[in-house]
Amino acid sequence: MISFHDLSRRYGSLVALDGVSFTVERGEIVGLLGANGAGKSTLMRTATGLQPPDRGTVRLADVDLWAAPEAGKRLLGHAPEEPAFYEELSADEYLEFLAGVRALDSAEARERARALCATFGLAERADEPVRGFSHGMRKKLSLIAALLHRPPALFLDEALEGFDAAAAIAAKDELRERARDGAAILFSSHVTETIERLCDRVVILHRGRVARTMTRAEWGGAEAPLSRLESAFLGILRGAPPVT
Amino acid sequence: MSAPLPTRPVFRRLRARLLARRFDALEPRLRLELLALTSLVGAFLFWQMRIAMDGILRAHGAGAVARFLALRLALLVVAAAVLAGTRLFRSLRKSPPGPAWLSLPLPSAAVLDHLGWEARLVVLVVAAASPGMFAAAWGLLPAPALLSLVIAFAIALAGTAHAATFLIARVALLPWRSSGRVALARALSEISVERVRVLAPARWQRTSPAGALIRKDARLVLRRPAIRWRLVPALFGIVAAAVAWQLPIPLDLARFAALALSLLTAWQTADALLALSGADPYSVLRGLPVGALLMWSTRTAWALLLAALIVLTQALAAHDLSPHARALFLTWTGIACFVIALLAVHYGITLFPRADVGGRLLTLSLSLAMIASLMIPLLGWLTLLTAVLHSARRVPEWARLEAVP
Repeated sequence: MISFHDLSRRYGSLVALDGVSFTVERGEIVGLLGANGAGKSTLMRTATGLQPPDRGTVRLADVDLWAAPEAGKRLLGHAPEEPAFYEELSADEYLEFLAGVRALDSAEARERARALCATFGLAERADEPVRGFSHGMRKKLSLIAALLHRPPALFLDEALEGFDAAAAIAAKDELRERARDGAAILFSSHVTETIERLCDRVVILHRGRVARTMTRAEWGGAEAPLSRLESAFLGILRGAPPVT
Repeated sequence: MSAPLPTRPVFRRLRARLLARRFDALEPRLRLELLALTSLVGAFLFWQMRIAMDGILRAHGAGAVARFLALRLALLVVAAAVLAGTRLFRSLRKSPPGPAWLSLPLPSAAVLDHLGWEARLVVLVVAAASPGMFAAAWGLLPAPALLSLVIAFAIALAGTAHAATFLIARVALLPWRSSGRVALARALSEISVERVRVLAPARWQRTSPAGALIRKDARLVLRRPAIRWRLVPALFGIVAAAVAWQLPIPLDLARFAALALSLLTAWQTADALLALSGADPYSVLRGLPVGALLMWSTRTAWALLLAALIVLTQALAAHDLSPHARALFLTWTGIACFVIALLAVHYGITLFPRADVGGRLLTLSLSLAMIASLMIPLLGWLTLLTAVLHSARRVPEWARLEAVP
């Protein structure tokens, strides 16, 4: 469903992405791990149409995102690490705007928006301007906006950061349900525990390259102070040879 | 009890660093743009004042020239003081630049003094207009007289701006006067406290993507003060341009006034359109399936609305013109206003999300067109049309354009 092929991006002399290739299949939740500056945010921005790559392709189903950006963006939902909104609009108006631009059925979109707001504990504040929202509420609204149109490809960057415990559990349930419905989800986070519990597979980025991929079976049954996923991640950061 | 902190040298160092960093932050291209704009304004003022002062010298002598120049310099001084005062007032009522001042162990007077300095920086912009005026007087006034005017202008500019910020600081803190020395602390602490306003529930009606974008734009116009306050003068401009026809002045003069006011209205609206494009969060709009044509057409709809509004009010007001002259005037005015607004639409799209860069380019383009028009008739329109066509070439690249860092 989501396919990165030879994705590269430089900022001047700094190589942010260097020939990144991997896929996320339908129904799969893939975690994206990496230290600060490893290229996670660049990958997310390139994958969601915010920043063109220097080389390589991003395919969503059969659509090349950068060759057909409008068609590609219809297929994706994105919750960025630092979400931005129209601060003067209420959460409800913001979601209504997104539904309008995406040409969703208004009645169905309204029900979906209200259900998601209720699930994440945002319903009571939905008619207030976003300007007054706390960090956690902004993150919730960003995730709701990404989920509103039930996209087949989801890109979530630290999406659960700032969530209260109940909302975090509800969000994980919602993401698992989306995956069961066939969505491909790329989930970037610094919190290995969240990735361990939520994801089926992990891609570890290091200095702009895919340093390693791990399946759930490989990190399952953590008993030591550091889980096998954490040990693998730390090993890469400390210079252990990458194994893909 | 601890001794008071030596704040004066600390702030002096901070200001020197701020000035240096801000200058460093100007890209080379922007520095060139600013230099070009300043030179244009200087050349324009030189052009206008040299001819006038030469005539005054021949008719009334050097004393009259000195008075003529001093009066215009005094206007600059007043403008600088008003701008500095307004900036300080806004920063005390909105969000003052810099760190969380209240958390620092600083006396209120030191913070106020620094905020006043920040506000007075605008004086440099106003002062940039003066070299053209002084150059215009070169050779017409005796050198000692001109030098005296330069020194007096510099002293008056700095002194009046200081007085304005001193006065405004007191006025802005009047509501908190009863709290004595802690007035600034109270004022700043209340800035961040905003009453929660519940909006009417969204209507969730079936709409097209274009409709959703236009409705979002309309909401932003109504709710974002930076856009709203740009449009208010534009609405006044439309009314003033219509009223020009009712004044007891010759018809030709009324026509000129109506055209000039309509063009200024279009400029003001163009500025508002740029502010509107700057209100779109980059990661929201770029992540949506919104193509260049959709973006361009929804923004151009606003430009068309402006032109239609101006043409309509002018059609109602300009009834003294013959039918042929009226049709010609309305066509000319409508197209000119639309093209000015269209230029802002293009800059808003091609320079998204840097509306500030777009604003500077718009000012540069329109100033250039205006000066060209004053020098050679119709050259300004050619300049404007060139800018519109040139900017249009980049519009289709909308989805691939990156945010200017």
